[in-house]
Amino acid sequence: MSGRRYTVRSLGRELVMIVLAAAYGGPFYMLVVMSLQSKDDVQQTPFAPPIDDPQWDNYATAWTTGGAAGGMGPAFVDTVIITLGSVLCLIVVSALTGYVLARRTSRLSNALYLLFVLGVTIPSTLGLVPIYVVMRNLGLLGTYQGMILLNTAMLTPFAVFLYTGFIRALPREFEEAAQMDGAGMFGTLVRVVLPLLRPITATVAMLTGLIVWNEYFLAIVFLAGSEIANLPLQLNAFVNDYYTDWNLVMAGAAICILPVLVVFLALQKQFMKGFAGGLRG
Amino acid sequence: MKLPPYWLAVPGIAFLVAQHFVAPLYGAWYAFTDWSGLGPATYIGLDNFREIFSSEVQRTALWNTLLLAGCFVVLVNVGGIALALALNRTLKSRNYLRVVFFAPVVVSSLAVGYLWRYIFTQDGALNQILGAVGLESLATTWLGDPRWALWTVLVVMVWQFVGEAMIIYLAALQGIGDELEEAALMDGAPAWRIVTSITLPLLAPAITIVSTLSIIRGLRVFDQVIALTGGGPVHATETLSTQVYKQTFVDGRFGYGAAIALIMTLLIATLAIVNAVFFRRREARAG
Amino acid sequence: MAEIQLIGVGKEYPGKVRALRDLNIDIAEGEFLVFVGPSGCGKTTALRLIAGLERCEEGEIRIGGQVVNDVEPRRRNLAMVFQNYALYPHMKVYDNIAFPLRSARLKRDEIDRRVRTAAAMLELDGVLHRKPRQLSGGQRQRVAMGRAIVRRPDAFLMDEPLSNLDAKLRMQMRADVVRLQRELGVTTIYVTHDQVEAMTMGTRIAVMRDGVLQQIGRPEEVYAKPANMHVAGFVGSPGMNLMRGRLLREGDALVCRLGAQTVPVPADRAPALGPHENGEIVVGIRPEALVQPNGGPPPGGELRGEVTGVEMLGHERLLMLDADVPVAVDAAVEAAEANGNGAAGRLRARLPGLSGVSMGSTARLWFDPAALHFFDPATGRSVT
Repeated sequence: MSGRRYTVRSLGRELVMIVLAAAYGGPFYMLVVMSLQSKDDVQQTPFAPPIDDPQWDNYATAWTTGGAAGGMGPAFVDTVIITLGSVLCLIVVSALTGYVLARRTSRLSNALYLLFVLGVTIPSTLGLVPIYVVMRNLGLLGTYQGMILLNTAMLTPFAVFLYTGFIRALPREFEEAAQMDGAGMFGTLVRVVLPLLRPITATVAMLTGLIVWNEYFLAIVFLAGSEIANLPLQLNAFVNDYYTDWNLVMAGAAICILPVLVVFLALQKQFMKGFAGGLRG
Repeated sequence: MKLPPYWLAVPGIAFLVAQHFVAPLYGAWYAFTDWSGLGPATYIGLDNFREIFSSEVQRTALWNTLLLAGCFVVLVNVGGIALALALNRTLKSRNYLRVVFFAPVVVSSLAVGYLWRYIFTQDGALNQILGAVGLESLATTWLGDPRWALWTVLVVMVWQFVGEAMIIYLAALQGIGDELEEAALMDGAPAWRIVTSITLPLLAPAITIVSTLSIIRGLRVFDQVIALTGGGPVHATETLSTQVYKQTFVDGRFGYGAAIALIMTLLIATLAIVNAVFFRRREARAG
Repeated sequence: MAEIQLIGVGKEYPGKVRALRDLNIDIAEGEFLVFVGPSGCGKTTALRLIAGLERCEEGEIRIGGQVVNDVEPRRRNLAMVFQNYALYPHMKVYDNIAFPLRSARLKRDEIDRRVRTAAAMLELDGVLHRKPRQLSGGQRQRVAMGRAIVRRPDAFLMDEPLSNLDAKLRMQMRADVVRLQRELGVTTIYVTHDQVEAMTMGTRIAVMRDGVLQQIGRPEEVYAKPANMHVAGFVGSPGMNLMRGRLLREGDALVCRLGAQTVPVPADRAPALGPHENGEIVVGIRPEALVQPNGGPPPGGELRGEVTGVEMLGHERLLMLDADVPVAVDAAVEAAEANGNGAAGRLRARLPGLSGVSMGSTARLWFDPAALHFFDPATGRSVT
C-alpha cells in the first residue's frame, strides 16, 4: 500500500470544507460590509469593506426612521418586551402543566398529553381569523398583552411537550425525599422541582424566545397599523421605504440579525444542543 | 407521594384548547361562509373551494407550496446528512464549521430573505460574480423572471435550514457511535459501503424527524417569499401562506382566506402524518 | 494465518499522553497471546495499533513479514471482536455474519456455506434470522465471533470480548473460545484485564503496565518466576503477598527481618542476594504457599498474625491476617488493589476449606522458604 494516505486525504477534506463554509457565510459578510457603505460604494464596490469611511449613519437612520413605530430602535425595545413577556408566561404555564402531565399517570393525563402533541404537529393557521376577531373585539390588537397572550398560546403545546418529556425522565426520588422531609406539594414544587428544571427551562426559553423574536407572520397580522412593532415587522416597513438604498436595507437587516447572532455565538453549544435535543421529539 | 393537582394544568390546557382546537374549528366554519370580517357571515357551502380550484392564482399558490416543500425536504436531508458526515470527526476546524452552517437557522427568515434579495437583484451579487468569472450570459433577472423566481425562494430556504438538519444528524451519528464503523472497517468494507449499509439505515429515525420538520416548515413558507418577491412577479411565487394573508387581511375576504387556510392545514396534517407513518415503518425494518 | 511482529512500537496521544512505550513482541503463527493488565496499561492501544484503527507512528508492525504501518485496517486481513460486540443492529444475525464476506464480493453460495458452517460451530443455527436485540448476551458474543471466523483472517484480535458476560457464562465461553482457536489454528491476540482469563487461555501472556511490557512468557513461567513486583502482585488470585524487610546475616545464613518477624533465606538464593545484605528487600510469598501447622516437621518458615477476615469459598478459605509486617507499597499496592487484595498491612492465605480458624484468633502459618520471592525495592525487579 502507498504511504501517508491518512493525512493528505484529511487535509484536502478540511480545506474543501473551509472553503465551502466561507462561501456559505458570504451573505453575512456582505450584510456587515454593505451596511457600512455609502450608496455609491454599494453600486460600485459592494464587496469591499469600507475601512476608511464606515457609514455608521446608516444604522442611525435605520434605528430612528420608518414605519409606525418610528425606527428599529423602538422596535427593538418592543421586541424585547414581547419576547421576555411571552417566554416568562410560557415557562410558568407549561412547566406547571408539564409537571401535572408527567407525574400523573392516569388515562386522562395521557390523553391530554396526546392532545398537546397533536397541537404541536398541526399548525394553527386556521384559527388565525377567529383569534383575530376575538382579539379585535377585546381591544387586544396592537398591544403588548395581546401579543404576549397570543405567543404564549401558540407555543404552549411545544413547551408542554418538552417539559413533560423532561420531567418524566426525572427520578421521583427528589420529590419523595422532599416530602419525607415534610415539604408540602408547593414546597416540593418550588424548592425541589423548579431548580431541577433549569436545563429544560433554558432549552425552552432559548427555542421559544427565538421563535417569538423572529416571528413575522403573527406580527404583521396582529400588530400592523399600531405603534408597536417587532423587529421583523419594522424591518419590513423600513425596507418598503428605502428599498433602493441597499446600504440602508442592510443596516436595518443587520439590526435585526446581529443581536441574535451575537447571542448565538456566545452560547453556541447550548443552542446547538438545544435544537438537536428539542426537535428530536 | 402527593401528586400535583390537576388544576395547575388548567391554564396550559385552556391555551391549548382555545388556540389549537376551538379557534381552528371556528376557522374551518368560516371557510364555508363569505364573511368579510364585519357584519354577518352567510353560509355559502363549497363556493369558496370552487373558486379556489378554478382560480389561477390559487392553483399556482398550491402548486408552488407543494413544489417548494418537496424540494426543500429532499435538499435539506441530503445536505444535512452530507454536512454531518463531513463534520462528524477528523477535522480540526469542525466546531467552527458547524457554527457557520448553523448560524442562519437562528436568524429571522424575513431578514434572511432581504439579505438574499440583494444577491438576486439585477445588479446584485450573483450577477456580479457571474460577470466576474465570464458567465454574463447566465446573468438574468432572477427575481423578476417567473421561471426563476420560485427557485430563489428554494435556495434561501435551503441555505437557512440545512444547518438545522445537520445538527440533528450530527447528534444521531454520535448516538450510533464509532464502534460500528470500526467493526465495518475491520470487516473489510470500503467507505461508501459503510455509509450505505451501516450509517444510512441507522439514521432512519433522524431522517423521519428531519423530514417531518421540513415538510411542515416548507409548506408554511411565508417570510422569505415576502422579502424576495412579495409573491410576484404576477403571483408566480405565491404560496398558500401568502395567499391566506393577502386574501384575509389585504382583500378583506375572511371566508375565502379561511378556506385557503383550511386546505393548507389539511395538507400539512396529512403529509406530516403520512410522512411519520411511512418512515416509522422503515425505521422498524431497520431495527 | 500469519506471524505478527511488533518492533519498537510506541504511541503517544495529543497532550503528551503516552499510551505505549517501546513494545517488542514476536507472535508466532497459531499462538494465543493474551495482553493483560489494569485499565490504562496500553493493552487495548496495542491491539488497535495492530488492527490499524490507530495510526502507528513509532516503530514497525509486521504481519507475515510485511510492514503494515501504512496499510488501512480493511486491507490487513485481520478480524476483530469488540468488547461491546459491535453487531449491526439493523441486520439479522445471518447478514451480520455475512457482511465481511459480502464486502469481499464472494459468491452467494460460498457466502451461504461459510456462514452456515460458522453458525453451526457456534451453535447459532436457530437464530440466524433474528436481530441482535433479540439475542442474549452470550449469543451476541458468539455472533461477534462468527463474524470474525467466517473470514479466515490472518489473525483474530479480541478486545475483552467476555467482560460483558456474567461470571458463569464467562467461564463457559472461555473454554469455548480456546477450543475454537485450537480447532481453527488461527493466530489470536486477546486483551483482558482479568488475569484468570489470561492464565487459563493464553499460550503466552504479556503483562502490561503504564504502556510498558512487564513480562511475557507462558502462564506457568509468569506465575512461578514473576519478573517484578507488579507481575507478582497481579498474577494469581489473590496476588502474591509482598512485604518489606531488611536482609541481615545471622551466623552463616541470611535472614530477612519483617517488622517483628523473621523469615529465613534459602541457602541457594544467598549469592544473588549478596549485594542487598544489610539493606532493604521486598519479600514475596503466595497465599497458596501458606499452610497451617499439621503434625509434621516445620518446613522452615513461619508467619504469625491476627485473623481479621475469613472468606468461605467452599473448597477453601481466604484468610486475611494482620501480621504487623510492613507491606510493600507503590507497585505492589497498585497491583494488589487491581487484584482485590484490599488495604495494606494485611497478608492473605489460602487454606483448605475445613481448617478451623476463627476471627480474632492468632494464626501461625508455615511455609517452605524455597517458595519465597525476592525483589529489589528500588527497581521492583526480581532478584533471584
